[in-house]
Amino acid sequence: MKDKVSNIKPPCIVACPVHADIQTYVGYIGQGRFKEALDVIREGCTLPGSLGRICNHPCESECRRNKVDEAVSIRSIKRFAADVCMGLPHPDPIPKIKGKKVAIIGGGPSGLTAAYDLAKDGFDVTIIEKNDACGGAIYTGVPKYRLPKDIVAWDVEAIASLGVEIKTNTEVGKNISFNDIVKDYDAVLIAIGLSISRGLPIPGADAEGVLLALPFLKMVNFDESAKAAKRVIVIGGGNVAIDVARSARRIGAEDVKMFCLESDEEMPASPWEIEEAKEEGVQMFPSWGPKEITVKDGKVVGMVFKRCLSVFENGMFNPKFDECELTEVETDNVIFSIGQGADVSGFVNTELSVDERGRIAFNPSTMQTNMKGVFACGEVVTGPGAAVAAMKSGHRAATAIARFLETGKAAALHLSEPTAIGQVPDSVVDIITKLPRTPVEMANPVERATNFGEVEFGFDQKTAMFEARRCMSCGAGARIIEEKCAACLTCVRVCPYGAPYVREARVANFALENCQACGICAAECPALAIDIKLNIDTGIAVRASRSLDEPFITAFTCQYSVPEVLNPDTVKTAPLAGVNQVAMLCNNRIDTLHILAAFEAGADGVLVAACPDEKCRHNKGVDWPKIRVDRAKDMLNGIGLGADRLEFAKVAKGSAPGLASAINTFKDKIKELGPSPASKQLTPSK
Amino acid sequence: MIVAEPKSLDEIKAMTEGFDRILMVGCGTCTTVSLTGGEREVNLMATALRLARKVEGRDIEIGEQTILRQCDFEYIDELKDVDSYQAAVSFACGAGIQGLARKFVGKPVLPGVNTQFIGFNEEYGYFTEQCKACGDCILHLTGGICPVARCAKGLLNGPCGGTNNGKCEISKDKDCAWVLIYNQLERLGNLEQFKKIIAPKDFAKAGNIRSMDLRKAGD
Amino acid sequence: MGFKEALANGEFVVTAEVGPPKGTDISEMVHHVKMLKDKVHALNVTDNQSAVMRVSTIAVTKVLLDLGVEPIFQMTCRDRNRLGLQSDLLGAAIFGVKNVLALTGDHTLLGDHKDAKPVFDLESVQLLQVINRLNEGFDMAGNELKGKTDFFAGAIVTPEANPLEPQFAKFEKKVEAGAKFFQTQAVYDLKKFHTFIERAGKYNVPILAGILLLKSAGMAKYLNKFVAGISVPDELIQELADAEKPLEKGIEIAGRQIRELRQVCAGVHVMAIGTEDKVPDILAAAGL
Ligand SMILES: Cc1cc2nc3c(=O)[nH]c(=O)nc-3n(C[C@H](O)[C@H](O)[C@H](O)COP(=O)(O)OP(=O)(O)OC[C@H]3O[C@@H](n4cnc5c(N)ncnc54)[C@H](O)[C@@H]3O)c2cc1C
Ligand code: SF4
Repeated sequence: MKDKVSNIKPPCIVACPVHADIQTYVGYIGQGRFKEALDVIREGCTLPGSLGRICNHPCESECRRNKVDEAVSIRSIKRFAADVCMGLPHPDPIPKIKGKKVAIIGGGPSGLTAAYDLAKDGFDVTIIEKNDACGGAIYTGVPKYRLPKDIVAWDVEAIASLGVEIKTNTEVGKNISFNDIVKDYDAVLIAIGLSISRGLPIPGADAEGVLLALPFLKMVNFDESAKAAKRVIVIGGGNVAIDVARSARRIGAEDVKMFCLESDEEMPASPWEIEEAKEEGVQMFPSWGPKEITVKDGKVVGMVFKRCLSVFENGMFNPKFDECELTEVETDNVIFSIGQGADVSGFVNTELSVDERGRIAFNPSTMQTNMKGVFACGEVVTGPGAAVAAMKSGHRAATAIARFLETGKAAALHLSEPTAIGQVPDSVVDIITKLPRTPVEMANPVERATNFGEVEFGFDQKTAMFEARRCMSCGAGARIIEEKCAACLTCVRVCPYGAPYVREARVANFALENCQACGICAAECPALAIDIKLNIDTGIAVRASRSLDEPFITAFTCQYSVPEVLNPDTVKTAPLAGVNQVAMLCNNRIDTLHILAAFEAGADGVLVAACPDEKCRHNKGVDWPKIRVDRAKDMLNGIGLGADRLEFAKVAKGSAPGLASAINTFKDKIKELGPSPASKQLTPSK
Repeated sequence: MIVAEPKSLDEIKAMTEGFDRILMVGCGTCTTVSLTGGEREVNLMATALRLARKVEGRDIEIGEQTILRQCDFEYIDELKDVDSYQAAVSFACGAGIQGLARKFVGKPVLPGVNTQFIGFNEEYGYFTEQCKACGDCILHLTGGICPVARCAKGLLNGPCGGTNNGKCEISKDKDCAWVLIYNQLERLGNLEQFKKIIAPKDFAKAGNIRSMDLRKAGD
Repeated sequence: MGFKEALANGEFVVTAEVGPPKGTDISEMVHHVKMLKDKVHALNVTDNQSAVMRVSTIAVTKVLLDLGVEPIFQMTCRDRNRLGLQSDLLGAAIFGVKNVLALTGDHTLLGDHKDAKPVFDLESVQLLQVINRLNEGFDMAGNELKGKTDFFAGAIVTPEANPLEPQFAKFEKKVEAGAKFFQTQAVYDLKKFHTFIERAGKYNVPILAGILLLKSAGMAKYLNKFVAGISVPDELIQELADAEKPLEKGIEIAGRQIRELRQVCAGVHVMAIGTEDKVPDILAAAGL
């Protein structure tokens, strides 16, 4: 079957710079398959523990649930996947079958991501990192209260375990020369990020007590004894400035003021960061520009600001000030947090070109620098942004390098970008069951501002699973097999969401915007011409040589009908005991054919454990599973197995006792009925 | 469209008794649309029959194939390996079943459905008879509502005495076609038509062994 | 005086009916016929009434003729195609049957052979036309008959049908097709019946109002609920419910109604299958 819409993806995936398969991993979490979720996450987002905490999650802004109620809490779900798996051993090393060596200079998110991809591809990868550990700006810059260092370390270890060699405390240009690296490796990737903080050449900028963001944050991160003065002014309105301000509070500053050019609405920092900073007592002063720092005895005593009227003109940075409206603020410290620049000092006197902004010059379509076999990625070429954007750049570089090493040429990458499914139509919004977003618990603002403990608590298993089940599985629903479609209109008539349309093309089509992936149509199509893209687990186990003494029972359930008992070895919720569970996309996907197939596979009894009407989000008044069970019962009587061997029950989702007791009662009944006369054939009795 | 209802498994069991290799053939046109003879039903019946035989203690083999139509030779010819089967069960209308029988020379072709009527698909899973293929259409006289198909007695000149509150004497669930016709003719301003006596129908046109030959004009 | 002549003379005509039995023992039927013989102008012989299989109508009309009673041959279109209908009509004619009541007939699904194939090759209106054609000396196919018939053809009408309009239009068609008299479904609501008679008046065909003995309030309610075209007014049901002896009350009501109907229509048709022995009492109560 050709999938006409293969490059149309849920908007969360499209919005995510690395196009992580959000829908799949969120689905796995909802089904209690945590380790599998983590494996999926890593393919796109190579630092799941870290990004699960600090990602700016553009996916959530685009989540189609926003129009229905609120976005799925994707980042917190990711964090849960990482946290719940932290006890597991790291992945095994990948054999270096390619026989080619790659050096990656810089172990930040972009370099680590490229290392992950290349190692998985079988290349021999070495990371050369100047710091004592990898992680880059999220290690040295991001404060611990948002991202504990051991989490970064765990993420890095997972990559190292693939067989990536990491040389720390090795600065290119100081401990090792760039030219040597170029000589020793088949390809080189420069991923050195932006490690220089910028200040402003205003009067007083060189006074004692004037600091820069990155050194300040590094100090806060690694110097346990770091202390701030009582009054601190932070210049800047981005996320880094917020980190500086909130860190300053934690090391003793009582009066922390943030001044930025941008107005309240224009502040580049994420709204939730601003909110959390305010809760911790940070004061915001938008629309002010720095004029001068007041100095007394060589030390900062205050700062003068001028009113900023506008920041941008035609989209270009071009601030306008009212020089008459001034304000002077007393302070002990001024910390500039107005941007970062590249430090390319380790590459001087080499062939490598640097652009007019001081970043490494490269060709964005090949990721190659002016030197053959030397590539660059991450913020050192893209400029500042979010970690996940740096990762995207790392993935691209890895692809470029792999191709280079395989063909000897750096070729333009034509990686096709997916397009997003449109918004949920209003008519469908009305029908979709509303499920409010699960709030993430936060530490008390007064208390948390005094220490570096994590501000945000992750989801526990139950909330993570519940939140994951809010995902609407956008675009994962019906696909037509055109050759089979009889244009009978059945799908049109049974779909609660108005997704299928047949008339124009004389063959069924499904409006992805409408489809909610309930599966009703697929179980009714008389021509078996509908495929559900997201088939959870339609594999029905065969009673191979199991004994006839124990009843062999197949239970069809909703994909989310799983008891919440975690198996620590597999990091999966425990499968139901004594039953062969077939998790369906939704109860509504359960088909009479599935039921008969289970009997044919040797089941002595089949239990259809559907969710109660009010718990099934796709139940819109027609009890489809019941209708299909009734048909199957009819047939079972004709077959000679008897309708007694098929049971229909409504069991609450995720409720172990309900499901388990339904199974046990049914098992007793089947035990009494004895083995299925149809399964005797399969297992000759001893 | 031609509407067919499924035959009971018991009946299919009885007629396939004694065969171990059976081909079940779905029809991709009318009976698929009437939800009883498409790939799904074939699959369902095949599974059910296999299971039923297993219960009786034997394993049989059932081939499942669905073709676009069973009332055209060209499509029937698309069936594969027909020789390897002892019998076929067709899920097409009577025409298709007989079409298939011509392909299965010397082997039994059995009906998998009961062909019901020429019907209208009112809503999902609900079909109503609309036409008796009487060969002599009078819909222009009856406000576009066919009394031959929709009056229990096929009356041509108005309701019988059994009409009751717009329903038929055979069932309270069935509309009296003649009340519908009267109302429609009234709406059309054509009650005069109702008053005209319609002559007895020429049932010769609906007789047996009917055929239609459009080739004559070319002779 | 014969049925046709009595109607022509404007006498108040009384008919009743006799149901052929299921089986060959006709003694009870003969007993009823003898009892009613002098009380009525003619007796209808039903045709597999309610689609329940019984002795053929044609045979029973012959029994009646032999007993000296004038039969009205009820002929339905359910069990015979156009050949069967015509040949039975010719057969009846040679026995001396004059009156035919042309009916469509109840559906087989209502009777005791539900699995039978219903015929309905013709229907009442067309059958009336066929009878007139036979009277003219031709069969339906236009072939000339050797000896023609002289039937007095009638039909039925349901004056209280709901909705009435299509039923009335059909009544008009029956007149046009050659119905010379009408017998009606049981009437109870005399007001409604009056309206019908007024509308039907211009066609100048004699109408015999149907009389069906109400044996109890329960029966009245049953009729209202299940029988098409019958509506027993609440006052009558109350009257029956209040009565100590409902059967006698029913006879009284029937008599009273016949007296009233005398003013407006050509006669009455007393339907009393199963209570044939009460017909004389009803007629007595009506002063006939
Ligand atoms: C304070 C702060 C807070 C942030 N908060 C967030 C956030 O909440 N969410 C988010 O998504 N993003 C955040 N970011 C942005 C994110 O950290 C960056 O986008 C990301 O780290 C960039 O990755 P990179 O690999 O391009 O560079 P970097 O992370 O800067 O990594 C470069 C690495 O190269 C090493 N290096 C540099 N020069 C040499 C040399 N000569 N020899 C050897 N090694 C060298 C460095 O030590 C460093 O480890 C934040 C950034 C900062 C500074
Ligand atoms: S509902 Fe699920 S698939 Fe759809 S955009 Fe949100 S997270 Fe992605």
